[in-house]
Amino acid sequence: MSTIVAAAVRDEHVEVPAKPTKTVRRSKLLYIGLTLLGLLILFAAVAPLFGSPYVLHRDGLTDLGSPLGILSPGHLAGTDSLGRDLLARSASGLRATLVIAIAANVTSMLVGTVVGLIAGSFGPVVQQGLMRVVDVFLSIPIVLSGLALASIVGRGMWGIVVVVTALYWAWTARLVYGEVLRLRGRGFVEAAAVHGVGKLTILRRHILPHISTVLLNIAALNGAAVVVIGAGLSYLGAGIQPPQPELGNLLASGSTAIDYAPHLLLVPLVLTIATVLSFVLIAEGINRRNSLSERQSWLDI
Amino acid sequence: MSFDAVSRRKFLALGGVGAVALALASCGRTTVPGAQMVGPPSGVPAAPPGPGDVMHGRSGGSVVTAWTAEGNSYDAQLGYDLHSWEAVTSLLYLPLFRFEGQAGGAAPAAAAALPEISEDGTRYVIRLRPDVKFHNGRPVVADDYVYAWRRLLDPATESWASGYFGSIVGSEDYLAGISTALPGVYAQDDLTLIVELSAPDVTFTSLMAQPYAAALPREEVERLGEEFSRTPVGNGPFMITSYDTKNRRSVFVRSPYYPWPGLPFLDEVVYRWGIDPSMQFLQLQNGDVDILGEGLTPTIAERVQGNPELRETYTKFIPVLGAGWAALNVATDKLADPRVRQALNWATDKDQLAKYSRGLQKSWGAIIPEDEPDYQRIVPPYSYDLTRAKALLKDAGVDSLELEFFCNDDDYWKSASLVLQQQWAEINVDLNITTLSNAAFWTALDNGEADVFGRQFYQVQPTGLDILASNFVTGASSNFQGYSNPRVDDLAGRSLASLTREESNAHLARAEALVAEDAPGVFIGSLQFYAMRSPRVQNYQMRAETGTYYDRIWV
Repeated sequence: MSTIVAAAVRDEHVEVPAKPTKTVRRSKLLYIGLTLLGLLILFAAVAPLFGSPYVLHRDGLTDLGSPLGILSPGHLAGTDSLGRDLLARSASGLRATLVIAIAANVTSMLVGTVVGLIAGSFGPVVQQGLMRVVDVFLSIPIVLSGLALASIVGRGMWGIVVVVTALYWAWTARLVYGEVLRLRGRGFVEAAAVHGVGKLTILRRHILPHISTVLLNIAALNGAAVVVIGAGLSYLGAGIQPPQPELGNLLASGSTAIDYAPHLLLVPLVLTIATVLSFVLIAEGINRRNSLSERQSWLDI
Repeated sequence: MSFDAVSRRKFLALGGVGAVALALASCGRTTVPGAQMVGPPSGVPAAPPGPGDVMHGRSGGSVVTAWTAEGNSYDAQLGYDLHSWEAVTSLLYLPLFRFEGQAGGAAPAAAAALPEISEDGTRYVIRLRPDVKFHNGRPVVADDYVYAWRRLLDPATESWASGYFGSIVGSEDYLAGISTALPGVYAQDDLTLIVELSAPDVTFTSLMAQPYAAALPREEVERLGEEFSRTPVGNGPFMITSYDTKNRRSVFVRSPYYPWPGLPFLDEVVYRWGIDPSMQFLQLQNGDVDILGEGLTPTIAERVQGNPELRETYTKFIPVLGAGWAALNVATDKLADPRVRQALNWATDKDQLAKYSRGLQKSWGAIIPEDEPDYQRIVPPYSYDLTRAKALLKDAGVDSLELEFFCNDDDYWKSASLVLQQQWAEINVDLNITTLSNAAFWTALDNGEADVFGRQFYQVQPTGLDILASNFVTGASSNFQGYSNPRVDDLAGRSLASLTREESNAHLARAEALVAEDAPGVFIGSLQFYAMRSPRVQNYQMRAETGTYYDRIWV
């Protein structure tokens, strides 16, 4: 066992010599994904600049009450069927979707990671107990249970965060549990245990860093899934309720106008696709870049 | 080129092109242009009063009309909803008079001529056509009207329309069940009906143009009993052959006894109901139905008005008279001061609201419709004047106000309430909107829970008095505002008892001015109507008072 590894298993701080420079395979996808997500976040952040999403503009409809199309004077993305500015509503809707996606992602990752780590590290009773609960959650159809849960916890923004967390934590827990099982048989973990390092320290110092890449990957993919399910629940009327805009309910109202005002569907649809795509690209980029993976971890010698 | 010569790549390419072509072809639904044809000469020499003419057309064919709900009754004296109203007005019964042209007044139909009215306006002599027959083949005689009107006024009939005949001599006691005699109506002979009124009634000839005033065959009413409500025997252009509750359809066939030879053109009219408006429109596009009974409704108006091709193909603008207003509950303390109610009128931008009707309402700040014929109003309609609104509220000592707006599942009012909420916020009026089911909505109104609620009213008489008397006279059947002004009641009574239309309208204008000053509602528009019919339906004619004129349609 090398000095560094011996120090590591004793949880001591040592000066690690500079790692030999390796050519990290850069992934353009990661940067494209990050740039796209950054632009979307920026667009959502400056939503107030586009005006209130609730104002029914006096010039917002034609004389026969039809919505204004894209590039109409004063309304770049047109208006909706109530004469509200679609750019303002889309930006605000994107903001709500991103808040839900990020918040629900963080909470589901947190819960899933903790459960997965505990299940993988403790005895068979805890392991079996927790993983059967996970199995139960994994066996429930997402949309149906989402609709049912939404009716219980409420249909606001934070209600949908709770619903999505409840629906997605089990996937993370299952993956983390598998990774922990794989890692806990590895030599450096066994060595740490032999040296009397506590379970929590082993989890923190030796296991968690090794599953960080997996967690990042899950987080990115989860982000895409959470955007879809959050918007989906709003589309089905179980999420954020109008008049508060959210990409899902904008898609729902736009879908009824496809034959006479297609921009009502297209604008939120493009934003939804872009958001999902950004998360997927980030996940794929991380996967390809792999610089933080186990094989090229800073703990590898 | 033999099949063998086609390479795999070419085959796939050809297949792809073919699939795209097929997809494009299926995307482009073939629509028949909405323009109506002139049609072949019909040879029909005359027609009953109504819009359009019957010079061209051909016999045969059938049309299907779709309705949202089942009608309450096909009994001429009981039917009141849109479905029933059209059936009793346009299919099953022929009243003494019918409205002439698109906007004209009463003209002879089952009567041989307009009534001879005494100078004091209280005695009507009505001559009947000898060739009008019931669907059982028996000629209609004056006694059939005496029977029908006694039945209308009989409390046991429970007709919603009985109040309209309250001016007939003896009707009050008869209606109250005090007397069994109705001396104001009698038959001089088989073809002469005499009506005596206790006071002049300028609308009485128009009342006789309504289906509830049509003759009824006593023998059939007694034979059919309850069934008369579903399969009645009338004297109109069509007779009913089946009423199928289970399959939600009724079938009407051409009456051989209709007194105008060659009419109606159609062999058959089928009513179908229980279809929601969106589905009705899809069925219309698909050719499964030909006419949407309720016309262009707010549910589909946005889609149709937003697509010029659909609008051109399926809609027909019908000039109608009617009013829309946001009714104010004057019984609440918050709205007791007329200045507050006037302020709400001045703070309302009717032009913006009209857009949310998708063409079904035009901006107008008064109760009597803008296009009311032969009517000289003496008060200008409310316009949009925020400064004036604020000044009125200041005079009334009101800094801010919180009001409850109740609406049912009506797409227009759901949108309009949001517009009002935004507009009234500019004068510190906070409008809370509650959407209720239809039943809960009317219960809430009865309980006085709403401060503001949406109202619309179509005239079924060719006088604005119909709107004013029904909605703003003390205790009137549709006076949900709880509004009462004895001077308005008096003027409405004078208008009704006038001998000429000019005199009637002069009183009406004064009454309208008082209503405008009291402002028991925020007057926002005159109603408009678009009929919805398939392009295969030719010579489609309609009036709001009667519905579709099936006796002159051809396909």
